Amino acid sequence: MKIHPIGTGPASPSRRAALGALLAGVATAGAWSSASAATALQAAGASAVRPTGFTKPELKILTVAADTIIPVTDTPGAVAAGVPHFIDALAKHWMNGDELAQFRAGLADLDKRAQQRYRHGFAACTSAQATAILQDLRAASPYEGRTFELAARIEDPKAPFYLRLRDFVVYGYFTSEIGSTKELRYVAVPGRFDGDVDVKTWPYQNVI
Amino acid sequence: MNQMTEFDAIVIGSGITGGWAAKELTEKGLKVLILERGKPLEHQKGYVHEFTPPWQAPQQGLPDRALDAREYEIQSKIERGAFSWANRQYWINDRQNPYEQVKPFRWHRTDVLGGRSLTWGRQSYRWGPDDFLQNKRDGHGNDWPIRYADLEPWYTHVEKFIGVSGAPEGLENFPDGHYLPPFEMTALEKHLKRTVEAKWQNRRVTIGRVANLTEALDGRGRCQRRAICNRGCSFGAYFSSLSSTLPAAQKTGLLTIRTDSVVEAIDVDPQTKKATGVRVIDAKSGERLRFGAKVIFLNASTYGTLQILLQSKSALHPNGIGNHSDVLGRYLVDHAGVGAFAEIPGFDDRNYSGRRPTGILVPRFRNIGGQDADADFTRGYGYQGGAMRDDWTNTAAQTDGFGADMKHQIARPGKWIAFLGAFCEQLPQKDNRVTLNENKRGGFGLPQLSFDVAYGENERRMKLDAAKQAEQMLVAAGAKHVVTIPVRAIPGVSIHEMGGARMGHDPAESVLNAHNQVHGVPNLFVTDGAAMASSGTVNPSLTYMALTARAADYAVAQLKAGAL
Repeated sequence: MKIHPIGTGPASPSRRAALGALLAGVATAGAWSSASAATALQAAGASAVRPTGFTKPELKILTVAADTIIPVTDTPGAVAAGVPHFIDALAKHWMNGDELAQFRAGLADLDKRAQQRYRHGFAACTSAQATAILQDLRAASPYEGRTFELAARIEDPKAPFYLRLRDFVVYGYFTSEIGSTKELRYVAVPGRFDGDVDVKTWPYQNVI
Repeated sequence: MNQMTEFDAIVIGSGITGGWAAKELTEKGLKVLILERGKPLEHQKGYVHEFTPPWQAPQQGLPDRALDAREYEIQSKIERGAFSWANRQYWINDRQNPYEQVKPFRWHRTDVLGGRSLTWGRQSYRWGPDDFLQNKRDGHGNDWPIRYADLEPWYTHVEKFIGVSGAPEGLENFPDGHYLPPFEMTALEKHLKRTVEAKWQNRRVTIGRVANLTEALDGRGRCQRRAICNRGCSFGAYFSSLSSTLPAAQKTGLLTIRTDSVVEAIDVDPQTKKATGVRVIDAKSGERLRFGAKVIFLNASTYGTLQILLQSKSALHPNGIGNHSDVLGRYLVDHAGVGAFAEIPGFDDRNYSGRRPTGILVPRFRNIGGQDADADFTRGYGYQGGAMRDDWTNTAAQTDGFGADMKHQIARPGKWIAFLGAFCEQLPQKDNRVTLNENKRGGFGLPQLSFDVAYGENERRMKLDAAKQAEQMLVAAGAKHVVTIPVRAIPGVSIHEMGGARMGHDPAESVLNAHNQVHGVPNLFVTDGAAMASSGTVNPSLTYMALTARAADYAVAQLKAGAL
């Protein structure tokens, strides 16, 4: 997978840190997604191959959106965790035609909203600008469905673009190595189960 | 057709009961052949995704929708996440193995050595004395030809070998067994137990009795609290054929395992009326083979077993073996269900660490020792459930925000949720049945098995009551708003398949006798779920194992006495 440098523009310190982490983390993040996607495709008879994922400008919009949805805090954010590449791999190998069309239109809409409001593309937005646009979009994206598993909502054809984008980023982050180990505490072999402990001694989830 | 080497016994199937039959028969000195229709699978080495972390899973664990829809249309719908990218390879290919659904029915099955012993929920309960008496008392179904006392020593025998963790409760109709130390309850489960037991004297909340080793046992490692059992466990810490019974059988030097061996039929000699051997289609080459033996144990899983019996037609058995009275394939039962859950406040300062491979259980309390005055249904149900905190996928799916605060909210332990899911006993009904559809061909050109099964009025009423009682218990524990959800709404979904070749005293109304012998074919034993004459309210696998060990003991004694 080819990695595209992020466009220039106003960027907060944390944004810059995220972009640096993106470039540093690219090798590993990209490696698994293309390898596992290739395996999945082989098994599936490669009938759904779309050789191209997002365009370079689309990937830039997606990267800024991902960085806004799961930003760098005391732990790395979605960009360092390789989430844009995760979603790009889904676009290539996982989304169906309707989902991909909706997602592309949604990215274009983000860009249009940024142009109207700030006279530059979404990829050039500051954190505050991107947040404002996504909050507007969130308010304008009603969803009646109710699920208790994120993967189920991701597959709901009635989910609006905003929710799909947000859910892909959240899912990609919390299943990434960074999200699983820095934000959550993935423990491969716990060895013991303590059923009733003070949350102060163990303030984490017990993720599989 | 090739006639292969003779064996003392052939065991058809290598799952929970097939493994037990092989272990018991070889340990008693018989030369045994296991025929398994599925692919080979090696303990440890075969569990290819056991240690795969989420970030290395295909699509980081999102389901492969295209592949699942095309090849695993039925299997991919299994409840409770028992089908996933990590174990898809154990389940059967639905496209290649279609079956007919006269009414909607989920047939969940594996296609690999070890069968569903790899993927089972491991809940291991003894049936109570009443469970073997109910058919006789209320007239639904036929009288069981055995009682709890007949199985009691065999439950012990099985529990000591497989290793079951649990807590004794001293209840007459929920008998205690031999247990390794129990898993601990969470703070909210302890609270639920206290409040429910204080309010209702006849209700009990106990930790799930589960075939996971809380202590090492006979060379198998202790449970590592990963709760990814259905991928396969290299520690051998839960009971499966691959970790337990098959190695024990292999140790005798008397076991031969043949995988990719689809059994087409069992041959019966028209003169002696005994089963003489098994006809097999090699799944890879298509070659047809025959294997002979003195004793045959049929352990192909309930519906697989019924299909083989129905396919075994001859002049002596024109409608299939054991079907002289048109009982074969009938009286299928499993567990219908309904679930209720609720957020319960007040425990935000408590958490748990590690991952527990079991939940909690509320044994049946309805219509025990007589009909409850306020019950408009017969028999009863138990609940299984748990009380845990929402994890990130739950929290994320119930919110739509973003940013730093959302990130940390999703990552923190979420709301405490208590869940109770009922297992409602299904009454045996003659019309709930499988047949063969000779006009529709399934895997290997064999006729498709056709399911015509539905829940009835009693199950409907029982579910309403189970939902109501669950709500009352959750409210007693502090719930403000209880949500009732359908679970196990489609027959088959519980994967507690039972009946179709039920045991009984009378050949006119049953297929098997009190020793699991097919009436009239004394050297053919059926000891999987097909043998069950009713469904009880707890998970049935432990009972299948006890029936198998008991029948194997009897078969060997009969064989040695020259009676088979």
